[in-house]
Amino acid sequence: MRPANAIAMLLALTLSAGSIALAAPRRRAVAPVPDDVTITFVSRPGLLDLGSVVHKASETIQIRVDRRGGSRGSATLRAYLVSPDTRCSIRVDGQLLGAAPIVIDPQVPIGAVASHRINVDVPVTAAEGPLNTTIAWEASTN
Amino acid sequence: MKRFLMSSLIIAALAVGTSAFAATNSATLTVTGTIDSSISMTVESAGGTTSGTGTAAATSALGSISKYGSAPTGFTLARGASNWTLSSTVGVQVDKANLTSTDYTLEAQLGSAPASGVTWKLNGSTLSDSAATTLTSTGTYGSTGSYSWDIVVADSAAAAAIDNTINFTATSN
Repeated sequence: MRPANAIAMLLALTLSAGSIALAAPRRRAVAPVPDDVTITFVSRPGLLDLGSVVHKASETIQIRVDRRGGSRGSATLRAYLVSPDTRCSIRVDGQLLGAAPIVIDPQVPIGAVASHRINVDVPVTAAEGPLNTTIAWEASTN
Repeated sequence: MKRFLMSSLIIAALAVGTSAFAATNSATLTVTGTIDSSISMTVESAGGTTSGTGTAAATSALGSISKYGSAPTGFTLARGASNWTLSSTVGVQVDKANLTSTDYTLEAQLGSAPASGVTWKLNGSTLSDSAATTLTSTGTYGSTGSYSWDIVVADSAAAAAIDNTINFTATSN
């Protein structure tokens, strides 16, 4: 290796490391707190009562994702089951929910209300009785 | 030299990568309801020219019937001394959902009083419009039960339409 090249490389590394050292504190300072983004159930206050369910039920809910300060942009909306009821399956916009988050909408406009269809299917072999399950929704700004 | 450049690029990439923060938050929606048990009944088959089989409202047209004429489609005709009988079967299926019951009771009743001199029978029992007749009290879910269906017409009966409706009622045991 020629000395000139070695010096250039060392200089490049030094500058790169320097930029990290300088930039890191600044980026930590702007890292958003979790409640920078909020999810609001516009049509329901976090509770969807389907009433009597014979075979299947479906409802449409409306969700709005907001960001503190009113800034615009988009977010990715995911959903999963926190406490599944094994007697039924739940779909959001046709997508079957499970324990792992799945993307419901990769481009939710911040501040806009979006409708989502929830379908509950009950197999004929499922025991009758109260149904209780919780869907967790997660929004991340893009 | 190449290794060194690669290291530099990786470091640079890491520096860029840490700059992309995404704000994340979550909320929960609780879904409640009550799973109700249910049963459904369908007429799967019947004599005559039928329509609506596989549903809960089937129709069977016998056309013109007479003692010395031909039997309608799906029927046999037996001539007696003072009456004549058209015989066929009716197939009824009862399905269940979210129900622990193992069998059901099936009853039948005429929708209106039969024409004078005309008797309607299912499973050998005479039907009326005033009380239900039990066809079975141990019906099996999910399979078609076949019940004999007889229409007995007295020779003295007036020549007229015999139209009627058989109402089936299934009750889980």
